[in-house]
Amino acid sequence: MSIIQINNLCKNFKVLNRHQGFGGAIKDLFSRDYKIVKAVENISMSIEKGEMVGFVGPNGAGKSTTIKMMTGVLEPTSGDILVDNFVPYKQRMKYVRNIGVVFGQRTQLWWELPVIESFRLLKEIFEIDDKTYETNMGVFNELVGINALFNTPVRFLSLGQRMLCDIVAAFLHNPKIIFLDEPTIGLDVSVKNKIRGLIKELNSMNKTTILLTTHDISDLEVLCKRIIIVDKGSVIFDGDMQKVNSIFGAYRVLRLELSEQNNLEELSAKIMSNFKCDKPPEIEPCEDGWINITINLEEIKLIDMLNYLLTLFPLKDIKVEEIPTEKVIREIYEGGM
Amino acid sequence: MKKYFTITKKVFRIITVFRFNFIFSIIGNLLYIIILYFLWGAIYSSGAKKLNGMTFNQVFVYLSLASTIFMLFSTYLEWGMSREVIEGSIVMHFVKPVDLQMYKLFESLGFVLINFVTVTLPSILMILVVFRPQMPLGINLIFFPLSLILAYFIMFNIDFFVGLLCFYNESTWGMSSAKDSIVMLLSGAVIPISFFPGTLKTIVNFLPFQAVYNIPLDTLVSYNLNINDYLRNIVLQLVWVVILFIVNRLFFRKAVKVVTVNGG
Repeated sequence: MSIIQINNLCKNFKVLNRHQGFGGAIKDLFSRDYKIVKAVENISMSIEKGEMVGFVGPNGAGKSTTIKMMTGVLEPTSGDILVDNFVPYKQRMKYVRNIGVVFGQRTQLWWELPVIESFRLLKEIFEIDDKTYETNMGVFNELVGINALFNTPVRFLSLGQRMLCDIVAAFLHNPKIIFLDEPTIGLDVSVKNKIRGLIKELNSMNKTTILLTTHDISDLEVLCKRIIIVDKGSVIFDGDMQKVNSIFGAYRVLRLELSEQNNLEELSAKIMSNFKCDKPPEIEPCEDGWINITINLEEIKLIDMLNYLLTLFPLKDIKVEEIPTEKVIREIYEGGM
Repeated sequence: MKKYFTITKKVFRIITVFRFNFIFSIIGNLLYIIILYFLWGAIYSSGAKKLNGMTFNQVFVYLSLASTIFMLFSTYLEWGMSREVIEGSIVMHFVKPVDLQMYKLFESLGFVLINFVTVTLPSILMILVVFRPQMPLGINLIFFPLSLILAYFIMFNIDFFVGLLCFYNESTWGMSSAKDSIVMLLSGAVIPISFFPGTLKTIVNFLPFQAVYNIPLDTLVSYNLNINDYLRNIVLQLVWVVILFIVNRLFFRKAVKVVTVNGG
């Protein structure tokens, strides 16, 4: 029996059609003109105990809405949702004892209190016994040195420190399932690494089931074996991380800044004629004046492309980047994985 | 239950962050009391010993304590709740095994206790020492604190109700000041209820507001009440506590859908 079982889950939001200007604002006061926004449409998934699953998709794909329904904060419009044999929004008080939640944009700690006071408060609220509390605090200190932050009020913590505290706070009452909604958002690389290490360690220690949403593909590479990709409210891919990785790995975006204005069409034509293959490089101009060239590494070598470009015109600056999630999603659509 | 008391203790620690507030609250309250003294002194200076059955001394104690109690009950509950709804941080309560009404009750209890020590006690001392008012000294001194505690539970529920209204719209300022004005006027905190015209007096008796200020203050200053009146008042307050608590419980279930159905 899976620990998380979701069938045909849907969530609609009723949104007022807003009108423009002052007259429009007056109209809105009395308006009954609603439109239905389908945030989540027919999502089904099942997750086994102890799994660490990445939940990805572009902004507005319905990830957070789904997580909120799983945590019992939102009520689904239709569909079934069963987590650890609870229907989250119905048996909230009992259910939330078994889960830990981190919403990256918010904190479950108390802004004004020193960190240790927040933990003590959580201990009381979740009715954690002294022994479990001491053991867990010991573990947290070993992993990330949490003791050093104990006396700092939460509002004085840096974003990274706060996130570390928030994550360990979610694990404090030994929950069976942890929901992490963008835990690495806005953090620098070294803190990200620390947080990934922490999550990995905590997952393997208690066989905690973890569902993680993120925009950072390297989070998923390190942490998850399985990933679920959603777009426009539906699941478009559910499977091995490696498959997705092969897409990410196969492409690179070459970003160029030219020292002089060039005719883009002329440039495209030249590149196309030089590199004839099944998946031709995509060339598109950026708003900031740079040019993005997405190339498939199986077809074209990066160095060949660079060499060729250098023969064409002088370059001011070059960057090589991974392809964005949106492109991977399109690739999955087109590739029919 | 223990967990909710921890929340009360939490407030004690938080509040020290804003400690300058107390000084201004005390000064504000004392200024108001001085104004009351001269205003009502002028009203009574025409020579009347009693107006509507109250002496100057009674009116003064009644109103200055009303203002002090207002300070005592200022927990800014509805402001906190509305901010949480607008910011969306209200959902963080829903992922913890706590009941929001109880959480808020014990949180605001923390504020009240702090207010008591920092604003109410100094104000009462000053009223007693500087103005040397007279009041009946008997069994009413036991009923007054009891009545005041029940008054707090009623006031909490009124605040919580307004807090829940803030789930539906964002005009906290308007609703909060409307609430303050209605409560202050209809509870007798600005003008003693015995000064109200007959019809209004009858209406006010059927509303919960007078149970917040008039009942405890009348218990303290009136010479006309006996033990049966005190007991009847306490029962009346208890009835209001129960009614409002249940009303809020039902309202909360409905209001929370705004967040859980529409995503806040």
